[in-house]
Amino acid sequence: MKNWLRLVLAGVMGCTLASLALAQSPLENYGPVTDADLEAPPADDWLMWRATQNHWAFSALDQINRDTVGDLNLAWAWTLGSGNHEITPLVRDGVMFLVQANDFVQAVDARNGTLLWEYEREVVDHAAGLSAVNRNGALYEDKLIIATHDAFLVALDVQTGQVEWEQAVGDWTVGHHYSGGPQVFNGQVVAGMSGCYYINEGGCWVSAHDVESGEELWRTYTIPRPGGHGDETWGGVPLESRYGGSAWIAPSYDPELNLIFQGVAVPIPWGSAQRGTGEGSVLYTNSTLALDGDTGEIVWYFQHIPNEEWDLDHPFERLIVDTAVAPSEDAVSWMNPDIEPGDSRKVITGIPGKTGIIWTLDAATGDFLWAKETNYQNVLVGVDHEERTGIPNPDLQYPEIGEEVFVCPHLLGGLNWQSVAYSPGTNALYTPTNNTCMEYALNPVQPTIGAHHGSARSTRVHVPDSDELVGLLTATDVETGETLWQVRQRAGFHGSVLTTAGDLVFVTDDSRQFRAFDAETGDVLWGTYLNSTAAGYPVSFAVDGEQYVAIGAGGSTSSSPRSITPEFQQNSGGNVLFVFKLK
Amino acid sequence: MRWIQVLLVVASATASGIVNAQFFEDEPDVSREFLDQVRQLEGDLIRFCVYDASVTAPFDRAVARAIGDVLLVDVEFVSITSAIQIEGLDFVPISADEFYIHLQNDCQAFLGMALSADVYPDWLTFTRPYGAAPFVAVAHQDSDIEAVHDVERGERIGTAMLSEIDIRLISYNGSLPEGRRWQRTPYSHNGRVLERVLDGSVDIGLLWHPAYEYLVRSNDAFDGAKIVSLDPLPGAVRRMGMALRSNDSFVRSLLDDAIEVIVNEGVVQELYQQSDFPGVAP
Repeated sequence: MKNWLRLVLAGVMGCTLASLALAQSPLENYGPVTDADLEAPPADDWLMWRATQNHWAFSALDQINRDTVGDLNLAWAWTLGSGNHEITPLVRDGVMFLVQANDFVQAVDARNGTLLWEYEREVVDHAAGLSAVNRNGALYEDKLIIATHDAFLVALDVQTGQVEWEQAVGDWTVGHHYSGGPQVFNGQVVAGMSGCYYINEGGCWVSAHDVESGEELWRTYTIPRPGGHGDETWGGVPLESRYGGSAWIAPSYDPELNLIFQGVAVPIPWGSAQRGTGEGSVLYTNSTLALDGDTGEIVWYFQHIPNEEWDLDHPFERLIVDTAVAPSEDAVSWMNPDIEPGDSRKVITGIPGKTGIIWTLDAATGDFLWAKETNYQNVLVGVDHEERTGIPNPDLQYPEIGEEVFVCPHLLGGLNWQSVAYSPGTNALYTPTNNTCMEYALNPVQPTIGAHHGSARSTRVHVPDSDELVGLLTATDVETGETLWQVRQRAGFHGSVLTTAGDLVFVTDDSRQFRAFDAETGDVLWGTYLNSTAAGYPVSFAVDGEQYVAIGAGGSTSSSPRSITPEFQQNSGGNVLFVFKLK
Repeated sequence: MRWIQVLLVVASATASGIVNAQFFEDEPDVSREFLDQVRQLEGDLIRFCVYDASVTAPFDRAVARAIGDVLLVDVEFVSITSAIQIEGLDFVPISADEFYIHLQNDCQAFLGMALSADVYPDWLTFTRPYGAAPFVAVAHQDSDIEAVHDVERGERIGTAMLSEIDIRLISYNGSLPEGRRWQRTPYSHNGRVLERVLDGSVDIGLLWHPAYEYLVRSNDAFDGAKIVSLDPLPGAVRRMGMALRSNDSFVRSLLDDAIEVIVNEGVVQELYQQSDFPGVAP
């Protein structure tokens, strides 16, 4: 063939393929996300971090179910950008949005990964390595809203990836960054600020923003201001010397109560001897905050660990469930003696902190209902339901600087940022936790503003006199607290859970396995090995009548306890999105 | 010198060859794509990272040059910056991940590290100290306070949080009956301590002497304080050294030998005198 002809044909073919891709672009069928969609998302979509505003991580799709899951096969894969991620693919009308490390965003065709557009944010020289990690964006109307490593909120046009608005919220130079992504509640963009584990004065906050402009509507600090409620719990330390209280996981929301549920992380430095706060409880660290959905005012709070000393954060997702409440004394660790068994309530439940304890509170009032350990822990010995706090182990409290204490779990959990899931089909929570402990000592290290606090050193070890099985996947009845089933294994469960209407529970582990369990029995129904452990959150969606399951491998893999389960090694990097469907 | 070159080549080869052979529990989980997997042969050259915003940076650089003279090698500096610039900063405010990357990609040793026993991760190792400087107490020049013991019990003492002198205060306070203690008020950096002394928020401030000198010399806003006695607190000294990766133990031993030489021969003391900042050879 003559060269000129080849060139012409190649040009024609190129134009044809481009036209075909354009013609078939799912962007053409993209419908703006409405408030009604957010309150009751279409089953085919995955519009927000944990699928719904109540953080269930439950997909109503059932094409992939306990009978068909054996035929699950790789549909397509996509190389993700480099850097630590904890990606949640969002899907709307067949368009998948991938918010990756350092706010690199790509929109792809959810059927095959064809790239539609991308947005690359200029990367600042942030001191916090964790600033690269981003868990999610939020879809609303024709916008994809992201919360960035340099502490901005940014709205992108879903059709083009062009910036519609951006709003500076924190100061990245002193450590602020987002890692929990935004949510859209009640017509507002709501996001919690993180990076207050760096030394920045006055602590972190949750703020709400106008969805059309990013303008800040309200801000609620996670550390009390002078003269405010809880000011006295900081032992007279001035506001400029109060640090911590990062809000590093996205909040949940109940439209009926118009309450936003936000978890708060530890005070900084970790030790009360370092902070100078004495026996003060250092509100609102390690608390659940219920915020008014219109104003951000704190309606109630519950402090899971007062005066925390061991980096056992409590910022994780609060799941909202309507259920009968009838905890079994034999099944739960602690319960409120005033409960009328069988009462129906709206509760918040889940594992809010690294201790691995399931906490169930009344969503309207914050009253304690029951709590249950899922892994070995020795930091809490009870619950004071009248004071609305956990009761710390007095043998571990107030360690002196340099004094070694033996604490379980290790400061990476129990559970860390990996998320639990709920299935309404079984009224059960599915929790991936780990048995680990640590030898822990507070450091005499001087931190400075804008720098990491360096509070302590720790060595991860097995639970003493144990079988050294680290990983636990537990199904727990939300009504009674009874364990429905449990998988115990050597490999840790450092992956997040997805439940589906197909009666399946998907989760990854440190051995790189991605498996589907029977939600009722815990039987393994399907599994495959990924290239890496997976820091991404598994999601499920459907396009053209076909159900898919997706998960981002690679990313923030440092939770894997390589020192105590050295047989599970892997290369670093390896960021790949895997998407599965039935053969 | 040929032997030095050979030794450094061996050290570099060792370092690059066993990047992941020795496992450290708390080694940063930095993706390999951010790390240079091959370390170039440097010839007669040692490359030092230095945090130039630190008050000790000029002295740190001078020490490194003196070490180069002893080892008969060239010395190069990689200037490390951070997003935030704080007056009177006395150490390196970068993350462990960044530290790890710099020591893998950019330099053999990081200057200006405060040496403390058992507080650093296992993947880091340190040279012997090449310098030391004390902490001081300062009060407003118009106050009657001449020593820490003049501060009434229950009143505030400001400190650079968790600095060596702050640890002394915590320990001393803890030995007193509850009603006889001062109110320790930790601040995030030396400049903030001095500000709070000058605005009367605290009766006395405890901070590092080189940082205090830097602050009062560089900014008139910090005029108005006086150094007072630490009594009854015991004195505290910060010792300075260099950080390396633990796998680079051979380079560390070379640097240790050179530091011993410049300390014993009075070079370090001479450098302190030239710098006109408080400090003594360790």
